[in-house]
Amino acid sequence: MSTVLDVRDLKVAFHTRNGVVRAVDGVSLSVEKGKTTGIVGESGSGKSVTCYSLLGLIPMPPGKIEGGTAAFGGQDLLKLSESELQKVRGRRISMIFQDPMTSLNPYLRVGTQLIEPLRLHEGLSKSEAMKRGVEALREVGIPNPEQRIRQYPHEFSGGMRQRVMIAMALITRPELLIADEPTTALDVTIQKQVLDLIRDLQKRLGIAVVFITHDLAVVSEVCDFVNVMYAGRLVEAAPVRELFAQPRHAYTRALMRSIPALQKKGQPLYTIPGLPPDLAHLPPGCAFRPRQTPERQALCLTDRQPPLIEISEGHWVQDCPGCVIRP
Amino acid sequence: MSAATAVITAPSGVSLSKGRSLWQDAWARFRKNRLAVGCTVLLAFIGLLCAFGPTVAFYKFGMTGETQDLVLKASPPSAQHWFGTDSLGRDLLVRTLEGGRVSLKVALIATLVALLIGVSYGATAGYVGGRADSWMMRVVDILYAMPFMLFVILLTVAFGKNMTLLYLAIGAVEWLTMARIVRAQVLTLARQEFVEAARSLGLPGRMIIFRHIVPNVLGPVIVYTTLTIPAVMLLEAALSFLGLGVQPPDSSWGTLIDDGANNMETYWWMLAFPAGIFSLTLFCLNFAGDGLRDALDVKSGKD
Repeated sequence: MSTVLDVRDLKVAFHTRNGVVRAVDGVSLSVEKGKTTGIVGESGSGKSVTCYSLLGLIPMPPGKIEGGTAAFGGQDLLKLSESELQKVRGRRISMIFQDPMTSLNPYLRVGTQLIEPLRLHEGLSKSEAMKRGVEALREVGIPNPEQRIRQYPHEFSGGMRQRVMIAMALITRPELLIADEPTTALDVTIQKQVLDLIRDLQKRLGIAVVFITHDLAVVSEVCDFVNVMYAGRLVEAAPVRELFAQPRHAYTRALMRSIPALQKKGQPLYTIPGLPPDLAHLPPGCAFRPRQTPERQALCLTDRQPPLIEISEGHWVQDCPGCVIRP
Repeated sequence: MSAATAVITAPSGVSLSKGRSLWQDAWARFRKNRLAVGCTVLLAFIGLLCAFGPTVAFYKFGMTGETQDLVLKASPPSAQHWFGTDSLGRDLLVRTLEGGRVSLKVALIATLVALLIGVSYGATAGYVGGRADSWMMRVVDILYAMPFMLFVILLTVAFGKNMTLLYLAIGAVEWLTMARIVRAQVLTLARQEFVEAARSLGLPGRMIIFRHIVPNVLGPVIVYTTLTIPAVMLLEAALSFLGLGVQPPDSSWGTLIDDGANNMETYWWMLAFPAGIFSLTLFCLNFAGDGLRDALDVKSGKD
């Protein structure tokens, strides 16, 4: 199994008027060829920033990459210049975004946008690129691709647009696909189709996928390995079966308890009390402490950041005495 | 191919022939607006008349706007002179058309100047953002605060009266609003997901601006342009009326109205015809602009 992307100790901060926001603080993760690594967390936990910063897509300033490495095909993504990154983006690493309704330019034909990466990175002529574009649309299951390719985004439904986005992302056969909550804006039946499509193409093309989501149900379905992020840090990382069978960290457990489908009928839905902490003013100790039950709070670290330890093989957890449940 | 494909069927009611762009939709909406279409046609007619009318008059009747005939001086409209003649016996129709040439030319050039400066300035400020943006916009605010008439009078004092100055002066004032509009549009557009998506595909900044941002600001820019043209014409007329713009023997609608206003108690036609044509043009421009705005505004109705 070869590792496509290996991120070590990534640190990203935003220097704002309210202080330094440490959006990503020492995150490590890796993705293997043909596998899917999930990043799960609430809004603002730093999961998107982690991926955007790898491609230089965060606004700098105020954003700043303050440390870490990201090994990708023998080079460190974090050290590449903007023009070198432009050659990686859309050719070797592609992205799909959350809202398919706004991620296509309304004034351009779908085909024009679809073949942009081909024209740009492979220097194909328009007619050749169009042929590939039709194939790409067929591949993602869009009927009548020859006609559809000449239409405009507003003539496509949400699910269809997401298929177009997937086609666009994969048209150059990248090694890595970053999917940033690709199903969040879609309704449930379409969600299922899009997930199936991503998985199907991944299997056939052997691409590595980083899947960002806040939906644990989606995670269990598509991911091989899961990283749970909280307040810009990893709190738990494990293979998907292991994680769902034996969640070690209190935050992971709380997330799982909040899946509505797993709760008893007639009971009020469980939600994690409190709010994610303000990243500009993080407590020195365990970031999850304020949201714990009082008796557990007493056990949490308050003086230093809990370290990430390998609690069992391949299963990493942030070692805070108040949060970790040992077997 | 996969199970995922099998579920998808072509949605009914979608014509699969050829895509209809938002421009085509807008055009269809515009065509339904009879008033706007009528005004556009009328506008084109006035434009053609001004462009070719004086030439025809010269070759057919040997008349120019400067052919004086003191025997005919200040005669009312007749079969020979439809608009009558002015106090020097010059045919008022020909003079009005020649004045129209100047007025329309000033309008077009000054608007173009405003468009060029405004769009590039606004787009730069909006796309770059941050501190550069706020400085650039403060400059616009300062220029806004300058009294226009004083500015023009100072310019004419410094450089003398000529047409280039007129274009520059008007253009220099009119680009400010354009810059603000474009900047606001670009500011929201640059944070849209499709711009992010384009960046994630590896497109360089200049391609993003020209392929993805500019087409999206074009709608508001076109609309504002049609509303700028009448404003520019009014400014030109005002300046000429005050003697700061076009100088005799050249005429523009502004100077003609000025002449007419001096004589309106005895020779009504000298004011009525130039003013009538001028108002008609402004009226048409405004309605055509309104029609365009409605047509290009996606929110006004999705049919």
